[in-house]
Amino acid sequence: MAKILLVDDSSFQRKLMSKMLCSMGHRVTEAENGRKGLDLVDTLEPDMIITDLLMPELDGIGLLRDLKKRDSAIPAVVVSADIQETTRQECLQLGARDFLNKPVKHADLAATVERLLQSIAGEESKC
Amino acid sequence: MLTREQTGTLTEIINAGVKKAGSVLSELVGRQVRMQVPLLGVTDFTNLHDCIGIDNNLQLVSVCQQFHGTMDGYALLLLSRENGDALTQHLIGEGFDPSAMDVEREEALREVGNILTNSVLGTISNTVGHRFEYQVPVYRQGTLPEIIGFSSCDASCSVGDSHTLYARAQFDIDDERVVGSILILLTSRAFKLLIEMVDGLRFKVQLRQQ
Ligand SMILES: [Mg+2]
Repeated sequence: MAKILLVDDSSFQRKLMSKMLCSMGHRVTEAENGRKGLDLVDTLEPDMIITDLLMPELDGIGLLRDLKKRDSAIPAVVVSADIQETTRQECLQLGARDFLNKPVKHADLAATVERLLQSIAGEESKC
Repeated sequence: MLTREQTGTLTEIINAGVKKAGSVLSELVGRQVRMQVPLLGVTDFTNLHDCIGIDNNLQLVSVCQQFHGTMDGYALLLLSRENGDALTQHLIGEGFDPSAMDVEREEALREVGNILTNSVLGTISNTVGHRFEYQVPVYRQGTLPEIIGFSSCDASCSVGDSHTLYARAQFDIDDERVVGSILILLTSRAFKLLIEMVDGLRFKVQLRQQ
Protein backbone atom coordinates (compact mmCIF):
# COMPACT_ATOMS: atom_id res chain seq x y z
CA MET A 1 0.00 0.00 0.00
CA ALA A 2 1.30 3.44 -0.92
CA LYS A 3 0.38 6.98 0.10
CA ILE A 4 -0.66 8.78 -3.07
CA LEU A 5 -1.31 12.48 -3.43
CA LEU A 6 -3.83 13.09 -6.22
CA VAL A 7 -3.91 16.67 -7.57
CA ASP A 8 -6.72 17.60 -9.99
CA ASP A 9 -9.18 20.49 -10.10
CA SER A 10 -11.97 18.27 -11.43
CA SER A 11 -13.91 16.55 -8.66
CA PHE A 12 -15.29 14.21 -11.34
CA GLN A 13 -11.78 13.12 -12.29
CA ARG A 14 -10.60 12.90 -8.64
CA LYS A 15 -13.52 10.65 -7.80
CA LEU A 16 -12.80 8.41 -10.80
CA MET A 17 -9.08 8.05 -10.12
CA SER A 18 -9.42 7.81 -6.34
CA LYS A 19 -11.74 4.88 -6.83
CA MET A 20 -9.21 3.15 -9.10
CA LEU A 21 -6.28 3.79 -6.77
CA CYS A 22 -8.20 2.71 -3.66
CA SER A 23 -9.24 -0.51 -5.42
CA MET A 24 -5.50 -1.15 -5.95
CA GLY A 25 -5.09 -0.91 -2.19
CA HIS A 26 -3.51 2.55 -1.99
CA ARG A 27 -4.34 5.41 0.36
CA VAL A 28 -5.31 8.55 -1.55
CA THR A 29 -5.26 12.18 -0.43
CA GLU A 30 -6.84 14.69 -2.80
CA ALA A 31 -5.90 18.28 -3.60
CA GLU A 32 -7.78 20.56 -6.00
CA ASN A 33 -4.85 22.53 -7.37
CA GLY A 34 -1.06 22.59 -7.45
CA ARG A 35 -0.78 25.07 -4.58
CA LYS A 36 -2.84 22.89 -2.21
CA GLY A 37 -0.93 19.86 -3.49
CA LEU A 38 2.42 21.43 -2.61
CA ASP A 39 1.13 22.35 0.86
CA LEU A 40 0.33 18.69 1.41
CA VAL A 41 3.68 17.38 0.20
CA ASP A 42 5.50 18.32 3.44
CA THR A 43 2.84 17.21 5.89
CA LEU A 44 1.74 14.06 4.07
CA GLU A 45 5.12 12.87 2.75
CA PRO A 46 3.44 10.91 -0.06
CA ASP A 47 5.12 8.01 -1.84
CA MET A 48 3.89 9.33 -5.16
CA ILE A 49 2.15 12.35 -6.70
CA ILE A 50 -0.36 12.07 -9.53
CA THR A 51 -1.14 15.44 -11.04
CA ASP A 52 -3.34 17.06 -13.65
CA LEU A 53 -1.93 19.94 -15.73
CA LEU A 54 -4.65 22.56 -16.25
CA MET A 55 -5.64 23.86 -12.82
CA PRO A 56 -6.31 27.26 -11.27
CA GLU A 57 -3.92 28.82 -8.71
CA LEU A 58 -0.94 26.63 -9.62
CA ASP A 59 -0.99 24.29 -12.61
CA GLY A 60 0.75 20.95 -13.00
CA ILE A 61 3.78 22.46 -14.75
CA GLY A 62 4.20 24.84 -11.79
CA LEU A 63 3.92 21.93 -9.39
CA LEU A 64 6.58 19.93 -11.27
CA ARG A 65 8.85 23.00 -11.39
CA ASP A 66 8.54 23.47 -7.64
CA LEU A 67 9.25 19.81 -6.93
CA LYS A 68 12.33 20.00 -9.15
CA LYS A 69 13.52 23.16 -7.37
CA ARG A 70 13.18 21.37 -4.04
CA ASP A 71 15.11 18.39 -5.40
CA SER A 72 12.18 16.25 -4.37
CA ALA A 73 12.63 12.52 -4.74
CA ILE A 74 8.89 11.86 -4.75
CA PRO A 75 7.98 10.44 -8.17
CA ALA A 76 5.33 12.44 -10.01
CA VAL A 77 3.05 11.19 -12.77
CA VAL A 78 1.07 13.52 -15.01
CA VAL A 79 -2.47 12.53 -16.01
CA SER A 80 -3.81 15.08 -18.50
CA ALA A 81 -6.24 15.53 -21.37
CA ASP A 82 -3.48 17.38 -23.24
CA ILE A 83 -2.23 15.07 -26.01
CA GLN A 84 0.35 17.50 -27.42
CA GLU A 85 3.72 15.81 -27.79
CA THR A 86 5.46 19.08 -26.76
CA THR A 87 3.54 19.13 -23.47
CA ARG A 88 4.53 15.54 -22.73
CA GLN A 89 8.19 16.33 -23.43
CA GLU A 90 8.10 19.42 -21.20
CA CYS A 91 6.66 17.40 -18.30
CA LEU A 92 9.23 14.65 -18.67
CA GLN A 93 12.01 17.26 -18.81
CA LEU A 94 10.66 18.77 -15.59
CA GLY A 95 11.07 15.40 -13.91
CA ALA A 96 7.68 13.70 -14.37
CA ARG A 97 8.28 9.95 -14.33
CA ASP A 98 5.38 9.18 -16.65
CA PHE A 99 2.66 10.93 -18.64
CA LEU A 100 -0.78 9.37 -19.12
CA ASN A 101 -3.68 10.75 -21.12
CA LYS A 102 -7.24 11.10 -19.88
CA PRO A 103 -9.46 9.18 -19.84
CA VAL A 104 -6.96 7.01 -17.98
CA LYS A 105 -7.52 3.27 -18.09
CA HIS A 106 -7.45 1.31 -14.84
CA ALA A 107 -4.83 -1.12 -16.21
CA ASP A 108 -2.52 1.68 -17.41
CA LEU A 109 -2.72 3.54 -14.11
CA ALA A 110 -2.12 0.33 -12.15
CA ALA A 111 0.91 -0.57 -14.30
CA THR A 112 2.44 2.90 -13.95
CA VAL A 113 1.91 3.08 -10.18
CA GLU A 114 3.26 -0.45 -9.69
CA ARG A 115 6.33 0.21 -11.86
CA LEU A 116 7.15 3.42 -9.99
CA LEU A 117 6.67 1.87 -6.56
CA GLN A 118 9.00 -0.96 -7.54
CA SER A 119 11.59 1.50 -8.84
CA ILE A 120 11.44 3.48 -5.55
CA ALA A 121 11.88 0.24 -3.60
CA GLY A 122 14.85 -0.56 -5.84
CA GLU A 123 16.40 2.88 -5.32
CA GLU A 124 15.92 2.66 -1.54
CA SER A 125 17.54 -0.78 -1.30
CA LYS A 126 20.58 0.59 -3.17
CA CYS A 127 21.13 3.28 -0.46
CA MET B 1 -10.21 32.50 -48.43
CA LEU B 2 -9.09 28.91 -48.65
CA THR B 3 -8.02 27.09 -51.79
CA ARG B 4 -9.44 23.64 -52.44
CA GLU B 5 -6.13 22.02 -51.47
CA GLN B 6 -5.95 23.99 -48.22
CA THR B 7 -9.53 23.06 -47.34
CA GLY B 8 -8.76 19.43 -48.13
CA THR B 9 -5.64 19.29 -45.94
CA LEU B 10 -7.30 21.17 -43.08
CA THR B 11 -10.36 18.94 -43.19
CA GLU B 12 -8.11 15.90 -43.18
CA ILE B 13 -6.19 17.11 -40.09
CA ILE B 14 -9.32 18.16 -38.19
CA ASN B 15 -11.05 14.93 -39.18
CA ALA B 16 -8.19 12.91 -37.67
CA GLY B 17 -8.68 14.85 -34.43
CA VAL B 18 -12.44 14.37 -34.55
CA LYS B 19 -11.99 10.61 -35.04
CA LYS B 20 -9.72 10.54 -32.02
CA ALA B 21 -12.33 12.46 -30.00
CA GLY B 22 -14.93 9.92 -31.10
CA SER B 23 -12.92 6.92 -29.93
CA VAL B 24 -12.15 8.65 -26.62
CA LEU B 25 -15.84 9.47 -26.09
CA SER B 26 -16.77 5.90 -26.95
CA GLU B 27 -14.27 4.70 -24.34
CA LEU B 28 -15.75 7.07 -21.74
CA VAL B 29 -19.39 6.11 -22.21
CA GLY B 30 -18.86 2.50 -23.29
CA ARG B 31 -21.09 2.96 -26.36
CA GLN B 32 -20.57 3.31 -30.05
CA VAL B 33 -20.03 6.93 -31.09
CA ARG B 34 -20.45 8.17 -34.64
CA MET B 35 -18.55 11.27 -35.64
CA GLN B 36 -19.40 13.19 -38.79
CA VAL B 37 -16.78 14.58 -41.13
CA PRO B 38 -16.29 18.16 -39.92
CA LEU B 39 -17.77 21.11 -41.73
CA LEU B 40 -15.24 23.87 -42.31
CA GLY B 41 -15.99 27.50 -42.98
CA VAL B 42 -14.66 31.02 -42.82
CA THR B 43 -16.72 33.88 -41.43
CA ASP B 44 -16.45 36.58 -38.77
CA PHE B 45 -17.39 36.35 -35.12
CA THR B 46 -20.49 38.52 -35.60
CA ASN B 47 -22.07 36.08 -38.05
CA LEU B 48 -20.66 32.95 -36.56
CA HIS B 49 -23.78 31.72 -34.79
CA ASP B 50 -25.73 31.93 -38.06
CA CYS B 51 -23.23 29.72 -39.92
CA ILE B 52 -23.07 26.84 -37.50
CA GLY B 53 -26.51 25.44 -38.10
CA ILE B 54 -27.72 25.29 -34.50
CA ASP B 55 -31.05 26.93 -33.56
CA ASN B 56 -30.17 30.30 -32.01
CA ASN B 57 -32.96 29.95 -29.40
CA LEU B 58 -32.01 26.49 -28.19
CA GLN B 59 -30.74 26.30 -24.59
CA LEU B 60 -27.29 24.74 -24.67
CA VAL B 61 -24.62 23.57 -22.29
CA SER B 62 -21.04 24.18 -23.38
CA VAL B 63 -17.44 23.73 -22.39
CA CYS B 64 -15.01 26.30 -23.71
CA GLN B 65 -11.33 25.51 -24.04
CA GLN B 66 -9.40 28.67 -24.78
CA PHE B 67 -5.90 28.84 -26.13
CA HIS B 68 -3.46 31.71 -26.36
CA GLY B 69 0.05 32.34 -27.55
CA THR B 70 0.95 32.70 -31.20
CA MET B 71 -2.47 31.20 -32.01
CA ASP B 72 -5.55 32.57 -30.25
CA GLY B 73 -8.98 31.05 -30.29
CA TYR B 74 -11.10 28.51 -28.55
CA ALA B 75 -12.76 25.14 -28.94
CA LEU B 76 -16.30 24.41 -27.75
CA LEU B 77 -18.21 21.30 -26.88
CA LEU B 78 -21.91 22.09 -27.45
CA LEU B 79 -24.92 20.04 -26.40
CA SER B 80 -28.56 20.80 -25.92
CA ARG B 81 -29.51 20.85 -22.24
CA GLU B 82 -31.32 17.50 -22.61
CA ASN B 83 -28.40 15.92 -24.42
CA GLY B 84 -26.05 17.29 -21.76
CA ASP B 85 -28.13 15.48 -19.13
CA ALA B 86 -28.15 12.29 -21.21
CA LEU B 87 -24.37 12.40 -21.65
CA THR B 88 -23.89 13.03 -17.91
CA GLN B 89 -26.09 10.02 -17.20
CA HIS B 90 -23.82 7.91 -19.40
CA LEU B 91 -20.77 9.21 -17.52
CA ILE B 92 -22.04 9.07 -13.96
CA GLY B 93 -24.46 6.18 -14.21
CA GLU B 94 -28.01 5.66 -13.12
CA GLY B 95 -27.62 7.65 -9.89
CA PHE B 96 -27.73 10.94 -11.76
CA ASP B 97 -30.76 13.12 -11.04
CA PRO B 98 -30.83 15.99 -13.58
CA SER B 99 -32.89 18.29 -11.35
CA ALA B 100 -30.65 18.06 -8.29
CA MET B 101 -27.18 17.66 -9.68
CA ASP B 102 -26.19 20.84 -11.49
CA VAL B 103 -22.70 20.72 -10.01
CA GLU B 104 -22.22 17.09 -10.90
CA ARG B 105 -23.33 17.71 -14.49
CA GLU B 106 -21.04 20.73 -14.77
CA GLU B 107 -18.05 18.82 -13.41
CA ALA B 108 -18.59 15.77 -15.61
CA LEU B 109 -19.22 17.76 -18.79
CA ARG B 110 -16.32 20.12 -18.11
CA GLU B 111 -13.97 17.17 -17.95
CA VAL B 112 -15.43 15.47 -21.03
CA GLY B 113 -15.35 18.76 -22.92
CA ASN B 114 -11.73 19.16 -21.93
CA ILE B 115 -10.85 15.67 -23.15
CA LEU B 116 -12.76 15.98 -26.46
CA THR B 117 -11.52 19.45 -27.43
CA ASN B 118 -7.97 18.41 -26.52
CA SER B 119 -8.26 15.40 -28.83
CA VAL B 120 -8.98 17.67 -31.78
CA LEU B 121 -6.62 20.53 -30.88
CA GLY B 122 -3.84 18.14 -29.85
CA THR B 123 -4.06 16.34 -33.18
CA ILE B 124 -3.75 19.67 -35.03
CA SER B 125 -0.82 20.59 -32.78
CA ASN B 126 1.01 17.31 -33.31
CA THR B 127 0.44 17.47 -37.08
CA VAL B 128 1.46 21.06 -37.81
CA GLY B 129 3.99 21.34 -34.97
CA HIS B 130 2.38 24.22 -33.10
CA ARG B 131 1.91 24.24 -29.33
CA PHE B 132 -1.45 25.50 -28.03
CA GLU B 133 -1.26 27.21 -24.64
CA TYR B 134 -4.49 26.15 -22.96
CA GLN B 135 -6.52 27.88 -20.25
CA VAL B 136 -8.62 26.09 -17.64
CA PRO B 137 -11.84 25.02 -19.43
CA VAL B 138 -15.01 26.94 -18.66
CA TYR B 139 -18.54 25.48 -18.45
CA ARG B 140 -21.38 27.69 -19.64
CA GLN B 141 -25.13 27.50 -20.29
CA GLY B 142 -27.15 29.65 -22.68
CA THR B 143 -28.08 30.09 -26.31
CA LEU B 144 -25.46 29.80 -29.07
CA PRO B 145 -25.14 33.58 -29.59
CA GLU B 146 -24.69 34.04 -25.81
CA ILE B 147 -22.09 31.30 -25.54
CA ILE B 148 -20.13 32.54 -28.55
CA GLY B 149 -20.36 36.12 -27.30
CA PHE B 150 -18.98 35.27 -23.84
CA SER B 151 -16.39 32.80 -25.10
CA SER B 152 -15.09 35.20 -27.77
CA CYS B 153 -14.85 37.98 -25.23
CA ASP B 154 -12.99 35.76 -22.74
CA ALA B 155 -10.64 34.52 -25.42
CA SER B 156 -10.01 38.12 -26.55
CA CYS B 157 -11.39 37.32 -29.99
CA SER B 158 -12.59 40.62 -31.36
CA VAL B 159 -16.20 40.72 -32.52
CA GLY B 160 -15.11 42.48 -35.68
CA ASP B 161 -12.42 39.91 -36.36
CA SER B 162 -12.93 38.86 -39.94
CA HIS B 163 -11.97 35.61 -41.62
CA THR B 164 -12.38 33.46 -38.60
CA LEU B 165 -12.01 29.76 -39.20
CA TYR B 166 -14.63 27.51 -37.75
CA ALA B 167 -14.93 23.76 -37.87
CA ARG B 168 -18.02 21.98 -36.64
CA ALA B 169 -18.13 18.25 -36.08
CA GLN B 170 -21.33 16.58 -35.01
CA PHE B 171 -21.40 13.33 -33.09
CA ASP B 172 -24.02 10.98 -31.78
CA ILE B 173 -23.93 8.26 -29.20
CA ASP B 174 -25.63 5.22 -30.59
CA ASP B 175 -28.93 4.11 -29.15
CA GLU B 176 -29.56 7.11 -26.87
CA ARG B 177 -29.11 9.47 -29.79
CA VAL B 178 -27.09 11.99 -27.82
CA VAL B 179 -26.16 14.62 -30.38
CA GLY B 180 -23.47 17.21 -29.82
CA SER B 181 -20.96 19.39 -31.64
CA ILE B 182 -17.33 20.26 -31.32
CA LEU B 183 -16.49 23.69 -32.64
CA ILE B 184 -13.06 25.20 -33.19
CA LEU B 185 -12.67 28.92 -33.72
CA LEU B 186 -9.51 30.76 -34.60
CA THR B 187 -8.89 34.48 -34.83
CA SER B 188 -7.90 35.76 -38.27
CA ARG B 189 -4.25 36.02 -37.21
CA ALA B 190 -4.25 32.45 -35.90
CA PHE B 191 -6.09 31.32 -39.02
CA LYS B 192 -3.41 32.85 -41.29
CA LEU B 193 -0.68 31.19 -39.25
CA LEU B 194 -2.42 27.81 -39.40
CA ILE B 195 -2.77 28.10 -43.18
CA GLU B 196 0.94 28.89 -43.47
CA MET B 197 1.69 25.79 -41.43
CA VAL B 198 -0.70 23.68 -43.51
CA ASP B 199 0.92 24.97 -46.73
CA GLY B 200 4.35 24.14 -45.28
CA LEU B 201 3.12 20.66 -44.43
CA ARG B 202 1.78 20.11 -47.96
CA PHE B 203 5.06 21.36 -49.41
CA LYS B 204 7.00 18.86 -47.28
CA VAL B 205 4.70 16.01 -48.36
CA GLN B 206 5.12 17.00 -52.03
CA LEU B 207 8.90 17.07 -51.65
CA ARG B 208 8.85 13.63 -50.05
CA GLN B 209 6.73 12.27 -52.90
CA GLN B 210 9.09 13.56 -55.60
MG1 LIG C 1 -7.86 20.27 -14.92
